[in-house]
Amino acid sequence: MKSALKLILIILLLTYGMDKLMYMGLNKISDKVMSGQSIGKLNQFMILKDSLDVIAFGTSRSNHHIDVKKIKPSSYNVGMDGSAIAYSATLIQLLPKDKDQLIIFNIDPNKVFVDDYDASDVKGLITKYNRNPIIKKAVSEANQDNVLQHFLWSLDYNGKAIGIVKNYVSPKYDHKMYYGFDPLDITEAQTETFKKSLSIKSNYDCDDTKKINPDVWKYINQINDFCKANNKTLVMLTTPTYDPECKVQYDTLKKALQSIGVSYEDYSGFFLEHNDLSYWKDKTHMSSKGAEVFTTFLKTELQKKQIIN
Amino acid sequence: MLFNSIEFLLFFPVVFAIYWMLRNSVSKQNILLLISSYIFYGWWDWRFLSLIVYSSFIDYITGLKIESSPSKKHKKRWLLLSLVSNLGLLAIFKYYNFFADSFAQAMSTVGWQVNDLTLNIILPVGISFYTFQTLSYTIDVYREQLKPTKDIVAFFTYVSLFPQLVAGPIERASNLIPQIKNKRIFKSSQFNAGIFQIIVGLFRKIVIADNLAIYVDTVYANPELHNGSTLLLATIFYAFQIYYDFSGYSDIAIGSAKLLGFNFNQNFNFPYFSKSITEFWRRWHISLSSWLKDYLYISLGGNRKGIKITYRNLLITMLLGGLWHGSSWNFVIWGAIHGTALAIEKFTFSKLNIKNFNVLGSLWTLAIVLLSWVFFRAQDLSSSLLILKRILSLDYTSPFIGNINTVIIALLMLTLGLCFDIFIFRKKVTLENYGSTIKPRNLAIFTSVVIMIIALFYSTSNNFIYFQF
Repeated sequence: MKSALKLILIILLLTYGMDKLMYMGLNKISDKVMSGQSIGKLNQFMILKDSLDVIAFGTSRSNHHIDVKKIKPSSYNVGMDGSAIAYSATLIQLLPKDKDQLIIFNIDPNKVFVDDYDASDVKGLITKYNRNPIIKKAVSEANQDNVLQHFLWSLDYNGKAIGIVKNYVSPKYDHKMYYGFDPLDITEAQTETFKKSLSIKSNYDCDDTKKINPDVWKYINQINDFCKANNKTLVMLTTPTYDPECKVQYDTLKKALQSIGVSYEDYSGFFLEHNDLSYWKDKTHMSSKGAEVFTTFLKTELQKKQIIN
Repeated sequence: MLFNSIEFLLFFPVVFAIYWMLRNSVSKQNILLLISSYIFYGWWDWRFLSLIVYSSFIDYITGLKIESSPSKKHKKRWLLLSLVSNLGLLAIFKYYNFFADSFAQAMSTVGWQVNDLTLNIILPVGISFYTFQTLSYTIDVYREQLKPTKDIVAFFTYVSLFPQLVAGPIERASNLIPQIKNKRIFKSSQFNAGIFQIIVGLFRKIVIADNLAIYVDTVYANPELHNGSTLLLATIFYAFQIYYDFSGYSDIAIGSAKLLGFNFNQNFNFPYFSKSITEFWRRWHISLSSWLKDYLYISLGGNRKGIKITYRNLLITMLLGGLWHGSSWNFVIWGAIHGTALAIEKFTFSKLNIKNFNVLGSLWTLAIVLLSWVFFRAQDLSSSLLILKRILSLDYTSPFIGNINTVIIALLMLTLGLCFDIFIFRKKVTLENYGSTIKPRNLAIFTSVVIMIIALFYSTSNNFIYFQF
């Protein structure tokens, strides 16, 4: 029995030591990675966040639709494919307290009026779990952490190590030129595929009795409270879609946001009157051409409202 | 409770510590094992514990009654009671909807419309495993190959012992009950072997199998969207996924049992290195294949009644083996493919007086196994046929990759797993025994390195595939 206990003790000590070495090694490499959506973009945001004037948040629709540099030179788009409101809300908490910043937040009703939302998108920040108390708190509150992460820090890099090494050895792009906006340049073949897909009917469940998901609402309030208390101007909007569905949900969302003093603009039908296939990659994502037209319009709107000069 | 859960990580050390504290009293250890096994099972759904208790009670009584019965006729009656009770439960919980649905479909083909007869029944986890385990007990007692036990706690513990309760290995009473009744002695070599096998099992399950599952699940969810090369790649991945998933589960089960002083039988022995389907079944899910051989194939007459009856028996055994896995025609077809391949091998090997096809045998085995896995994994018969049609069309354009990082991790870990398998296979030792030959210092290093690999590459826990059976 003694030998068994000794073996367990050695395994625990060895694992603890190896884990810390591995964790520190990966931190070193990871901190130098500036390309790739998962780590590079987050690292770049962490470095730039204190000096930015305009920051766009949201999903891939924010990432591909809002060319923030057109709005202000010192800007960054943190929108990311697969991320939802918990991810963005946590990043917003990291912004400096007293700097005047404009936050443009793309919000879509189909992510708001949902029955099940588990905030698992916040796991996208897991690499910073043991290094950033705000992220740690957000991940824990969303119940997305692993209790073993308190002891086994390498778990922060679970599933990410290959991507980190890949981007470290061979960066995908020059990060000095990158500001988070990823325009979608469309080929003729893609336009053809999109044309064909238009005949497919959407099966989106437009239920006008649906309520805003309470967890989503909690994050909306968290963002709003932070912005009000820390000198941030929050603009929530829905960027264009090819064929906006369930307009009633947009109206409900608008009313709900107005009730807590959040400015919201529904631009989902922006292209409806002058729709052109070249503006689209698919029904929810605009092409680079569409994004350019929309961002130019958005800038004018923000100027009209005197949110920017 | 899943082996790869935080709950089990807390549960097992507590049971382990109390268990060895009680090492001077076998009866107290057995009571602890019984209670902890019921907690382990009840963690999933405590209501279904009643089925295990019922099954245990029936077989405890019938075992004693069979032995004390004065005539063969009386013994047979008690055996029948055990068979009807156990298979009845299985029929209700596992097969009722399948047969009701098949009946309704058959009726509709002759023009009779039958109302929906299916019921909303939950399949109790592990029912197929513990049913077969208790059945083997009463059949062995009936065949006078085993003396029934009067120790009710030992018997109930035999049926429910938590390391093997929900997905096997299907342990024979002749192996396990004596171990439960006798004093267990703590041995360092057995402890080390247990640690080794648990860590290998965890790596196989949550690193290799669960990473492969991401690609397989994506492709098999919508096979109509994918080309032949993608479907072939997903099927190859699935072959390894199910192997590492189930053998990983068995490793954790066998390893945990070792830590408690029990020796379970081997359940997997590198099946993909087989040179025939016959050999494959000696290496794959050994506890089930040997159960089917001993209690079904031999009961049907085995190979003692002429060549035609032998082929029939092989086919029936494998068809029922397929149905044991799940209540769908896909599993029946899976069994039929294996049964037919076994019959072909029996015929060819006896005509040519050979034991396998050598190198060609490996290819033949791989082809049959892959073909059958399509039916095992696909959602229904039409999906299986579509997948096979596309794979066999040989129109192999570039495959769908999806998330490149996920595929790279899956391939890297699969390579690591295969290298490990080849290493052990070439050593000509079983995985069960290899752990006890490693020096404690090396075992500690090996375990820590594997824990690091698990931390960096594990995939979020999917249920073990065989839990659904």
